[in-house]
Amino acid sequence: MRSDDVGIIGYGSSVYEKNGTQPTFAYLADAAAACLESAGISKQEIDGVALSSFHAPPDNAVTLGEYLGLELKWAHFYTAASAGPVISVMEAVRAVESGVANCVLCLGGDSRTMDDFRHLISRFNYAVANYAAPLNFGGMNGFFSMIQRRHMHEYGTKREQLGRIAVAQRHNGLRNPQSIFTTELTLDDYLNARLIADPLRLYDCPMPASGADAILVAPLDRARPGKGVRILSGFQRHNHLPGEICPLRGGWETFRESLFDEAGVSHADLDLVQLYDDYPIMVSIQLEDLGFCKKGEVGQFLDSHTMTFDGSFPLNTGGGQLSCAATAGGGGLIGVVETVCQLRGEAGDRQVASARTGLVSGFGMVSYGHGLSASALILQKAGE
Amino acid sequence: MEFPMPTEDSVNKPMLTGWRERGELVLQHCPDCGAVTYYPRKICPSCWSRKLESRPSSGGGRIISFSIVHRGVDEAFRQQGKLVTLAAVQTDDGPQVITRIIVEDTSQVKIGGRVRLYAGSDRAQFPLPVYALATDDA
Repeated sequence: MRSDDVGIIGYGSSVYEKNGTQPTFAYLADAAAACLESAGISKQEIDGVALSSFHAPPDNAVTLGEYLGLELKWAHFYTAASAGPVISVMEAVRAVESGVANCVLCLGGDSRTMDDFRHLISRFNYAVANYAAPLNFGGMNGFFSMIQRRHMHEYGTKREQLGRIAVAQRHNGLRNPQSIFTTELTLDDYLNARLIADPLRLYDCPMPASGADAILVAPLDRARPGKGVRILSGFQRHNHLPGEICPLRGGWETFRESLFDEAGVSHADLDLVQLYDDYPIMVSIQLEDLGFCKKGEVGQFLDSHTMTFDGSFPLNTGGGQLSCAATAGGGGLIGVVETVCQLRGEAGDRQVASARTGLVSGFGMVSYGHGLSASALILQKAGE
Repeated sequence: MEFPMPTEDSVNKPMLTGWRERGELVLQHCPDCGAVTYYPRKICPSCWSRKLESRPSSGGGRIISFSIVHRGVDEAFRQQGKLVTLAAVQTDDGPQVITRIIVEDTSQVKIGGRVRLYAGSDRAQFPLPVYALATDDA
């Protein structure tokens, strides 16, 4: 889904906090206001809203519109969990291209506590609630620890290699004023942290947080000079590998070639990459599925690269969910916000030098054993 | 403090009662395409046949992967504070299942290891089918 005329003209975030201090809609409102400020667009021009949130229901995109005082021509609530926000950006572009709406706010966010998080995870969907949670499954940590163990067993992937992702992301996050983390993480800290679900330890797991992110999709000629971002390509896939409960691959492998072909760029053209980081092992599987290395060879890839914003492979340059904030509904949008910030040259102490082109992925809807939904976008600074 | 339980309905009742009353893993066999399904569905997820037949598993399987879960999610489990050996098992019958391995010495649990449905006298405490390590390597 490439678009020459419609793209991203604004981005913004609320404050991120460990425990929610205000309702979900309040975080979303803060992110929306920041987004419009960055775009230089007035609230009266917004006629479409896409919302991704876990705790908003029974509220939805329409009732959010009411809260924000918006009369809307287009309102969608997204279903693919943390693959949804990336998809919502694609769908917003389609809505604007088709003329259904002119200016669409894509929002993702949640207000929550640890209790809210645990309640959600145990009842995440029909299959989890009925056929996993009654086993004392340990939540998503249980599922992904099985995936990590299998990857380590089949391919020899080491925790020392996976830890390089967590350590680099903390390095990046400490240079992001939005991050809720304030201390360095060493590889020793990572390796020796307390066990959560063996082989997963504490720093493999994102800490549930509250907050919201926003992206504004509109005709690119409305962008501030030099601040527009084009969408070169975007894809989604759901329910890849039916019946498999512990796969070492995901939906990204089904659209990898199309994603790069449609964008007309190669892997080497990417200046930065934001991969959905619920766990370093899933970042690693995406590196394989998206073709940065061959299946099973991610360990060597991680050994041969530095993933800091100023390293050989700038990855999750704002800290990502592991080292900035994992805000549930916003977790799938934080990579888009970070990419847009970088491409606009507004990333301050973590700015990737001459960033022009970036890739963002989404992943979500963990059901009977693995995440069902995968998505990805390739973005480029407009006018390049 | 309540433990999470499966909600019994007309579709999953044969599976839930098969385990509870007879210690079986009841799977759904499709007479039209031959697919074998778990968890229970109303129609065959392979061909959408509506004629699914419930039959007990042979009971054997192999460990695809496993985890030793230290931190539960539900408060009732968290208060128990027990380690859980969560596993993905490839059943000999076809479908993969999420389950637990009931075992004292977790160092005996290996990827590729054979498992059998758990037949302990306390199996009723588990609301879903669980496994034990197989004593032979059949």
